[in-house]
Amino acid sequence: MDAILQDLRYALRGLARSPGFAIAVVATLALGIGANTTMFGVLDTLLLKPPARVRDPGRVARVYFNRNFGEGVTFTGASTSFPSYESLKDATGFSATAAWFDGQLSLGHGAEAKSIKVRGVTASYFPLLGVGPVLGRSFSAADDKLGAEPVAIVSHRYWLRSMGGESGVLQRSLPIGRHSYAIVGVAPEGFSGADLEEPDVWLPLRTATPDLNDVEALTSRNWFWVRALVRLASGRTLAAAEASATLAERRAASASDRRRDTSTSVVLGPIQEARGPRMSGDAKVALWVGAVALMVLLVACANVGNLLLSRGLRRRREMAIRAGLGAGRGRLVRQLLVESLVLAIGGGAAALLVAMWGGAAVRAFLLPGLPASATLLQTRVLVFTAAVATLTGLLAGVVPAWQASRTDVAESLRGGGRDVTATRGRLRSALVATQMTLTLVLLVGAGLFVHSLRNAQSLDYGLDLDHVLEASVDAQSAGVSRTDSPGGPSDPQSALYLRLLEAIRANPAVSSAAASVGEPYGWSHSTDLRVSGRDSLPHLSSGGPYFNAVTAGFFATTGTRIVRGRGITEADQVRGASPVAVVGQTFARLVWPGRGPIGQCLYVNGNDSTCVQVVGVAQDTRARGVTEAQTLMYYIPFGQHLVTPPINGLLIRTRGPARLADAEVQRALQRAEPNLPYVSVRSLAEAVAPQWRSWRLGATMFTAFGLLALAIAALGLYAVTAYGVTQRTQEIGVRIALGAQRPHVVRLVVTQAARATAIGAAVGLVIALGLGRAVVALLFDVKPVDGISVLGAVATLLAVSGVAAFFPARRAARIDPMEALRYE
Amino acid sequence: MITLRNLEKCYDTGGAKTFVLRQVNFDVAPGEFVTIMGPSGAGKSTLLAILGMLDGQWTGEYEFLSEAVHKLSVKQRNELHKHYIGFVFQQYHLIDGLTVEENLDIPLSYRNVPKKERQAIVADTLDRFQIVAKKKLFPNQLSGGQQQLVAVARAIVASPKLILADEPTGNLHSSQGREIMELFKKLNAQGTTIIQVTHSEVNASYGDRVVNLLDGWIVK
Repeated sequence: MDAILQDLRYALRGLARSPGFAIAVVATLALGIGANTTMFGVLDTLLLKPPARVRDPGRVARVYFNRNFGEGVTFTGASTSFPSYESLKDATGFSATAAWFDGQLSLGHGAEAKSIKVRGVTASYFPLLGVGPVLGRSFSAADDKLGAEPVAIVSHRYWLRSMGGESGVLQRSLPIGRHSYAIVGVAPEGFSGADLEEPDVWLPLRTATPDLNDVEALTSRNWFWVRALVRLASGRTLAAAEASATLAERRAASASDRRRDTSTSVVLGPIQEARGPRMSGDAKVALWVGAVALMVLLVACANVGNLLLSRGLRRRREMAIRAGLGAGRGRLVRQLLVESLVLAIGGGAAALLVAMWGGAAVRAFLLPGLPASATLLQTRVLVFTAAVATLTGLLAGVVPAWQASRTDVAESLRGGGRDVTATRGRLRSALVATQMTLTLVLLVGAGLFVHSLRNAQSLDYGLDLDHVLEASVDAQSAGVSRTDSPGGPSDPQSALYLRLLEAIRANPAVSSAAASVGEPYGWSHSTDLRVSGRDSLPHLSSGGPYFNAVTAGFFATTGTRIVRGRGITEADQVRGASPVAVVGQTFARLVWPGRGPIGQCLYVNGNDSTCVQVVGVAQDTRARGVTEAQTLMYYIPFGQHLVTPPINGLLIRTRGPARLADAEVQRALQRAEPNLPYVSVRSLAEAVAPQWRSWRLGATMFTAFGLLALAIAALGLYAVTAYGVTQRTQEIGVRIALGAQRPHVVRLVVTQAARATAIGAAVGLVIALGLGRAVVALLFDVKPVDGISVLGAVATLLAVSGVAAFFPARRAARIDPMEALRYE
Repeated sequence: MITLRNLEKCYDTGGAKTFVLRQVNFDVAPGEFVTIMGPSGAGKSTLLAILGMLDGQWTGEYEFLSEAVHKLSVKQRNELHKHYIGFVFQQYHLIDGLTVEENLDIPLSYRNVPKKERQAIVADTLDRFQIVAKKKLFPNQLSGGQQQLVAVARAIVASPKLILADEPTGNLHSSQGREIMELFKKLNAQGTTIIQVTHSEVNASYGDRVVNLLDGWIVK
């Protein structure tokens, strides 16, 4: 123990005498360990840690349903019908079952309306998870009935932030949707149920169904809208419980309708959703980012290993003296490992600071849906950091320590402090090359995803993403409901939207507006369609044909070009006017190949006697998805009563950029009608942004970590080259004395650095091309062997490496030969 | 104490062999003060390094305190060296990052001497060499003579049976050198066997006999 304390004392003193070295190592390790600490926190939250406050989470399971859709197609999903959930109670093996639904509802009406996140839960939800409110009471069975007095439990966060933590909260009510919900409880702090995201308010599921959905949803087996949780009974195994639940589900399905498919099976998964049969997109992304962060840590380890190797060589004399004084190899290795562990612990402590910043960056740029708790520094994260720091210290330090302890005592003492064996440091060069390899892989990855993102963003979407807003309101909360008559102006929901349309057209920030039944990147509608002269319609992978019923001015508002004929006018919307349609370019090309579409007839919604005449062809849009360039799409005027869906949204063209006008438009719409629930307004750019998410994510992730690795590798190359110059000072002095010019000296120094860089880049290129093939499905319109990405990455690496090697080379060229020959 | 028979050391130089020591036969009795002399490149320092078991690349026979060193493993040689031999280098080779006191402590620490005992021995050695006032100083704060004094102190702190000194006064002024040689004489008188390498006839006169080396051969 005394010997270890001695080693510790000497390590601290030695590092204090070399502050530059210590800072370089600690900073390098902080970046590498910090990146991994950040990602561990995220992965821990998504995959490992159970949700907060849940009692005995190992006995709680999420319920999934594996359904057969015919022709060998099966799908496993969590959503199911309410009757299907209720059939779980007939299964043996569960001590409790619960269901829930997440939604967004309007809080209040009129100008003060806000949007809040609600979670409808059965009365059994809180008891199943073993959680009770900190104030008030939980839901009772009497609360969770259709028609019961509406009650609510607010989340702790909502209670503090939006209600000021008021003590009289249990006497308050909240106007949510169409009802006023009396607050009966406050959930515990940090409790988010079985999910990671905490809602604002918890509502009894059955009571709140009229606000959340249609009442029919409680009895229909075709309406998949709730998710289910179960708690395994004591002594029951997962497999037995699954089998019993499957039997119960099939019995219930058969009893409801003999024709119904009864091959559905129940699958139970862990309470952590990301570990279930359908790993979330966020979890997949987090795993990718974690793997990339690990690569950065390896670069950091290689870098630090090099720095320690160089330091070990500088201390050959000291190690030789110690060996000459009786130190065994084990003792020398231990002394050096203590030093590298001290550095690693320093790096680990600094890594926590990096993780605090990194967590915010991850949430901002990579995983915006992540809860804040995922990036907090909790005990598990601290333990992880300590473990990684220790392993890093050992990994980075063991080879340099072993090398340093292999000193030839007599040779080292004879040569004084200089590395007289003049080894060219094959190991150091290998470590530099390794860093370059990993860095190039990350840079090529960055290039591929940046290229994909730019390809996706530069497409012609057929829509003016930057000048168009889409607005929608929750019709149920507005107290309007659909009628059974085909959609038209008299439909209450459509009538509401038409009134909002008139109001917003008068707003000075708006240049035009239109209403539509379908919305870009939202719901698509399809109905029976026949074309004269054809037995069948073309089949595309995007499905369809799809229709959208729109008001006049739709195409001018969205920025979709009419390439032939005309668009839809006010005259077309009048009841009794000749039915007309505008078709998309792909529709026209495939349905009437080689013929003009203008004047052709469509027969819509089974109405075989009414010819809906094609009057125009509109540009194809990517309104269903970025990757769907070709869709069978047609537009009909709203008001011709050809189809039944009501208007579901407005499209509003702003005079300036849409993102600057959205707040004003939202306020204007909110004021337009009395007691209007919250109106949701967003630009088309915001609507399409989720489509770009995976490429943006890849681009951000690989670029950020690639640049980090590049910085670390450049630092390492500089340090190794600078050390080499120091070791060869006498040799360089002799060369200069013999007539070598500056360019010769620079070439001498840079060649060695360039060799390691070139080898690393070559190996990295091979690996990157291989990995490129593996991720080609994740790219957009980019080949795995993408010349631009590869050339860009290689050029960046060589340029930065050149700069890193230049400064030591310049120093070498300025060596005074007389000083150098006295150097010892 | 020491017996060398047909000791040889050579380097491979591009296929040929360059001999540094040739058929060295050499005996040292306990308590002797032997001087090895010869021109530069004769192999003196190499011979000293072999005697001190700091160099293991040689052939021949070497017996030290009746142990056949040529038959021992590296670990066994290190143990032998650690317990019985102290080395004084021309360039002092003190550890720059350690104080005088810590430099003296290091050999005892490597011999697993308990802390309290080490402290006592170091204190005694500092007193013996009259460098107590300098115990907290670092080597770069000492003069050359003081550094060599500390180096000699370090060499004897573990009470070795044999001291090997390679040009111990090579970097010192004559008065400092005299001081060091007087110290060696005193240690020898107390029973420590000393083998020194030197160019100096004056230094050689402190010893009992001289062994001459020329081009790796012992010459009479």
